[in-house]
Amino acid sequence: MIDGHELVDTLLVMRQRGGNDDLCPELVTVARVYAGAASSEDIQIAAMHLDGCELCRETMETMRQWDAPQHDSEHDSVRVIQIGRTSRRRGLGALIFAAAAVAAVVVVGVWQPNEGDLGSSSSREFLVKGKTDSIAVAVQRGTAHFAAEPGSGLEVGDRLGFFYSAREEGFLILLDVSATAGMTVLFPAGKTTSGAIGVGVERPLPDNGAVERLDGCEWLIGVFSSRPLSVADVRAELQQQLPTRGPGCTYQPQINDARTTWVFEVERDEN
Amino acid sequence: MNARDYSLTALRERQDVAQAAFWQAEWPRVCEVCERILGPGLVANEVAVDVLEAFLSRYVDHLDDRGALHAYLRMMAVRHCLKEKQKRGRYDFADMDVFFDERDISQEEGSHLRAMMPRLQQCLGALTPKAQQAIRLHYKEGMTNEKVGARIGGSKQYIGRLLQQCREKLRKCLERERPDLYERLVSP
Repeated sequence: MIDGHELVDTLLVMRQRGGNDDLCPELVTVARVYAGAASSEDIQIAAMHLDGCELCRETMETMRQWDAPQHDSEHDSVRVIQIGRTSRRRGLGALIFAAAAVAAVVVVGVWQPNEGDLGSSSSREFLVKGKTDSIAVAVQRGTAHFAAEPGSGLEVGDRLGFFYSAREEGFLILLDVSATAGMTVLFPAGKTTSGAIGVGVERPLPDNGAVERLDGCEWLIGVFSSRPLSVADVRAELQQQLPTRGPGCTYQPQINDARTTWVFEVERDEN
Repeated sequence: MNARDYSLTALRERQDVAQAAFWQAEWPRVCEVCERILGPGLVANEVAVDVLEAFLSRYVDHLDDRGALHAYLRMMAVRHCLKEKQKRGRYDFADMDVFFDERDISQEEGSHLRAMMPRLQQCLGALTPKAQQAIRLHYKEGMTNEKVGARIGGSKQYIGRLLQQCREKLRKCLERERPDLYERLVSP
């Protein structure tokens, strides 16, 4: 028999025995990759480790889900948008160049786009800080996937997916702006303010698009900011600065409080 | 020292002031991660203590870049919580026989102590987060009152009083919740 305080002491000591979690030494390398402070050797070490460590993979996946841009699942489905301007200047040569650009953004053995679903991401995806704020446009044409470059031709029926890179956390609005057919907010669809984004390279956005027939100049505009911006205000500013006449499609809008305004001129190959 | 004002070098040198600043700055972040996975409460607090203490005592030596500190700490917390979630509610009594032998506890008493464990968890859950931190550091890490105070804030006298109050609260709670077992284990 013992006294009451001895009982509590004994129970507390019993409860705290064991349970020390020995971490994999490679976890620090995985953390460097996640923080964007990794060398190419780090990336390979981390990828090899994640291949063999289920708990670390699950850890990465949990963090990746938390850091993914916020969006509503109701907007996940592919939406048809009108993108494209007739162009006779670009042919397949530009598309081959674009395909090479895709290879350049793939982190060796780690980033694995899912066939047939441009908007989804692999459980083995790594996120590293982008050097700049930018957006990559991935094109699915039949069974082929490639990245679109400004000036490369798009065809009616092409499906588009969007991947952003950001140098720091912030907010993003992605719009399709047509000189003749108005604007469509691609991300964040259905919201009144810009959507939160984390740091990273080539992170997928939830909304996709498809190319439809349309005449006139057209652009994809990404507005990166450090604080949330009103979608209505951004639309108004873009509208005010739309080029009204002239043969070219030069458009470099300046948006108040944007840290980066990314512009992609959309051109379409006749097919 | 400001809460954010600690260097990796100072942490690696185990400087008390830097460790206290680290604890103050990182506790809310790590706790938030743990609560997100395990839900708010005792277990999340205990895992957060384990993660911070494991980092300060061992894993800080693995890190050579301050830039990756938060990602690493967050990864440690997520990993530990996922592991905890898998074994939630189960106690590991594997080496308890040795423990009972060392303390001259009979098999019958040992069985009563095991049966009291879920109630202890409930009683611990009623304590303040700071008290839970102090108990974890004192009983699991074997820290002195002075060391616990240096970590979470407070003099050794304050931590001594805090732990004493906790023990009394836990004793009353156990007596109230499991009077049958309490009577069998405690001399009148």
